[in-house]
Amino acid sequence: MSSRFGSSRFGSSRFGTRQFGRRTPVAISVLAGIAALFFLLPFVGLLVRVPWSDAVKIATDAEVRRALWLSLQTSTIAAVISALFGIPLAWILSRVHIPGRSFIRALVTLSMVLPPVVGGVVLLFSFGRRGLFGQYLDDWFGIRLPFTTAGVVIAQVFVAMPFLVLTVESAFRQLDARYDDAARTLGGSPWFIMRHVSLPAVRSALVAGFVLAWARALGEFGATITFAGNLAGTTRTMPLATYLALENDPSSALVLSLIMISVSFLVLISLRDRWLETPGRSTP
Amino acid sequence: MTISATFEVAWPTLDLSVDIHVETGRTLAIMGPNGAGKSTIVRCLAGLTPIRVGHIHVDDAIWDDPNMGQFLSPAGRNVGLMFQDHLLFRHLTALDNVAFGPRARGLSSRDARGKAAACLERLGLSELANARPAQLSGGQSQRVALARALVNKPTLLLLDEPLASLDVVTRRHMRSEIARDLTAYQPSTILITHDPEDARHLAQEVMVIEAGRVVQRGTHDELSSHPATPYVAELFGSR
Repeated sequence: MSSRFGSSRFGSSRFGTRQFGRRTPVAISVLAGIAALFFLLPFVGLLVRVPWSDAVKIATDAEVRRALWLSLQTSTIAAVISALFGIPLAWILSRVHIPGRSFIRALVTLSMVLPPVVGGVVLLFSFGRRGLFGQYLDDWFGIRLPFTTAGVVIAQVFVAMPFLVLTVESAFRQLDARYDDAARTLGGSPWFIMRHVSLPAVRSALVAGFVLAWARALGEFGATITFAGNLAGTTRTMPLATYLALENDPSSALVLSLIMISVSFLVLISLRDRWLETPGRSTP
Repeated sequence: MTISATFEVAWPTLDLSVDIHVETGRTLAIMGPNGAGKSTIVRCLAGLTPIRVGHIHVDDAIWDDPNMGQFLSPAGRNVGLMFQDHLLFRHLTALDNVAFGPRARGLSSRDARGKAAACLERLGLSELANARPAQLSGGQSQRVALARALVNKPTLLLLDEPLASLDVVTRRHMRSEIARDLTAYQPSTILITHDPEDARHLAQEVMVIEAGRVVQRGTHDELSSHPATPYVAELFGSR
């Protein structure tokens, strides 16, 4: 079918002058189609198998509602924390020549490529109750992170912040520094220029980075279950609840998955048109 | 106010040594081949690049004097700087671009806008107030950038090839517009340009630098009738 489609396109465009020279090679179309299908098919499979008759009952179950609410809360807090610390970090990495900058950048992005479970282990042995720093948090401040909602947020920030830092850093780096110069001669203090020139200029990257971080936090599983455990109402987020449901009641796992997909998809779709049209390309 | 600057910059790629004087309300055109150090002069005067040796004085105020350990930040100097590509802030309207300076200097956003609106009106640009930079033509964005540089009534106005990005016809038109704008605000001005016509219409004095050294100064007519170097002769189309 693809070859018939392809050859007819080829024929018409070879002699139709308008499209000539801008044709997409057939092989590219086929491969791109397979890639798109690869992402589409699992969702079709999911939609077909969802027990629609019980779906509402499962979705409104108190346990599920708690998990969803916990997920939305923690991932939003994690994204805000990532932005609060990640934007300054992105600025320093993009603008300030500090020794060991590439080392710091590698360190920041490390948690993107680590298996999340390893992230959880690392957190447990540093910020856990008997961890290197965690024991002082406990002794001095009475703060215990493992098996608490705060622990969930920490695990999410650990895996989510790099997405924001990388996105925003690359946008900062593409900014023409002469806009800063112009602003400085106009009398702007560094802080004024940051707020009124630099940040607005990378606005779309800020939103993209925030959404990526939020989505990554929402989907966090490995580091959360390792570091924060799986306590209903406290640390059992949607991904954990879904995994648990898969063992007990696979059909409810489908419903939970559908909820997560819908939430993420809605957010991505609603932001896409307004904010993500030209990611990366940003000048004030 | 009289600008008086003598300074040297020594970089691997540039060895610059110049002295510059501009009287109140006068315009000095600085010309020279690419890489001669013209833009560096602008950056030093604006305070974006500190000088190594020498001094920059404006009347009694010291802007930069390494010997005395004094350096005034760009914000403290009240210079107006305009780049070749204008560099209007794209997320702001023309009015807010012009209001940026007053706002950065501590005016409330309402007062800053009032000041900007007055400036736009003075330069005959009121109808552009709500346009975004992307909606402006080259000539229009050039005028708005000039308004932004003038709104704080700068002691020193620095124009770094202000007309270079415009086509020939627009450039001719803009030249007389700029001349009028400068008359309205009377700043001491330094104009970097490659075009002798700019120098003739806008500046009372012309200074030519080659490889970081001043090779000639004088009026447009003096330079074109008695060029000191082959480059000056070529530039002014003398014999």
